[in-house]
Amino acid sequence: MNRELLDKWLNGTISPSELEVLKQDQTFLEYLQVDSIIKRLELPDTSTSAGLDDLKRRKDVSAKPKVIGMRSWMKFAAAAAAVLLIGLVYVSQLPSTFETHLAETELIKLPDGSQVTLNANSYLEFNKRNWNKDRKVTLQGEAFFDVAKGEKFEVHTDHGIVSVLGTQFNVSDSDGQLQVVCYEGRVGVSTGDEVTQLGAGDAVSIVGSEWSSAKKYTKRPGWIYNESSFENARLAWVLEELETVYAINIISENIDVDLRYTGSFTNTDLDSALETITLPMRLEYVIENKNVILTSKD
Amino acid sequence: MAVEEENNICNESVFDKVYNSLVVSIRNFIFFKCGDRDRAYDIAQEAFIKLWQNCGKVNEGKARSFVYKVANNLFLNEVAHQKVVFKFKQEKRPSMDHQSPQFILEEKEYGEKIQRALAELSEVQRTAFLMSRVDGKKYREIAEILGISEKAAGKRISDALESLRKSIKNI
Repeated sequence: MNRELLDKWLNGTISPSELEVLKQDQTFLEYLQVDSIIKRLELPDTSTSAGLDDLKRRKDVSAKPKVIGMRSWMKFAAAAAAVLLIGLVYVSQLPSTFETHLAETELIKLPDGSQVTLNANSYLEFNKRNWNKDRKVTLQGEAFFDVAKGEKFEVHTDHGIVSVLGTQFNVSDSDGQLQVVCYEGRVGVSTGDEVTQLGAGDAVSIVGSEWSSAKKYTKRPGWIYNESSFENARLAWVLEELETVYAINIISENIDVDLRYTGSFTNTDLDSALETITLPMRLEYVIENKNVILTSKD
Repeated sequence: MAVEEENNICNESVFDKVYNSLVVSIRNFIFFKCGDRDRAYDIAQEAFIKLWQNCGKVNEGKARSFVYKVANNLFLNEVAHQKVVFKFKQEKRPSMDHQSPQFILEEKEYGEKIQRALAELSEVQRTAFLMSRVDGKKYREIAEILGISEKAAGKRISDALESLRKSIKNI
């Protein structure tokens, strides 16, 4: 096979006389046969106008969705942002509220780093807005405050306002009685017209217009350590605290609830808590599910 | 300035001209690689959309190599390459058929053999060979498009031809 002529044939530059020379070769005749079959290959669409029309549609389509997509996306984003903004403004103006149920406590961090430990069955409310100018919380129930240094800090209760300058104190406002214990710094307590200041270790208990003072030698209220402690407290109040801490119902029969109790009970084990109360008070107890029945030993 | 404007592919009439002159070759180019006519059509369209999007950067002279390159890349980017299948049209014969039935049978048989042999060629061999035999492109053009020397193009084409010849001889 004449390689040069074959290349000429394949390259389409062969002359008729040269082709006649090639045709003397049997192999070349077979090449011609292959070539004739190859030329019948089914090819892709050869129309260009339909393809061009199709392309122009696709050009438009490939350009348009980008614009439409972007616009609708932006509209959506703008709408979402607006809703979010309105929501944020609305939410930021709402006071933050915290509520603890029976047998639960909650640690709350205030915007300035002050911490409030909310005791069981209590409610705390404050407003994040203007917090630095107006540090004010509303309390129902009991909470321990560890206040960061700064402007005036006020705890509003149903029975009075407790105001401080960077300190640690406990406020308990329940059962018609406001109890404040100052553990660090100074605390001012005011009810109606009466105002008093507490130093570290001072405690005050206010029932109606009756104020009584006491001294505390612990660094934290007992309930912070899962302990409830009482000093010369009415048994009625102790039992109420027990009900709150353990989420139980106490049925007391033939018991003088005006008896005074000094001591503390654990908030983690109902049996030992009942032991520590009933033993010195000469009482007996029976636990039936969520009910505790107390009877006098006498 | 006016001349530049006339040759600008962003100018729709220039683009149309480029499309019409190149699109069939591009479709075939991809078809020779994959044996799938629909895919070849789609990839060619895709490649021209890329040309349109880059019309400001590509002048008319560079358009051909740009579209070939893009089409080739689009082909390579497709992950799943199915098995190559080539089909031959039934030869249209004059109604007064004077060819012997044996010849017709032989042709059919050869067709099936070449079909299989074509699928078994390497992609580079097949592409160069079919560009030459089907599109009627010269060695130089094929060499340019594939980025190889004319000599290499000629070798691929003649080697492919020899493989197909052997397939019908059952060697």
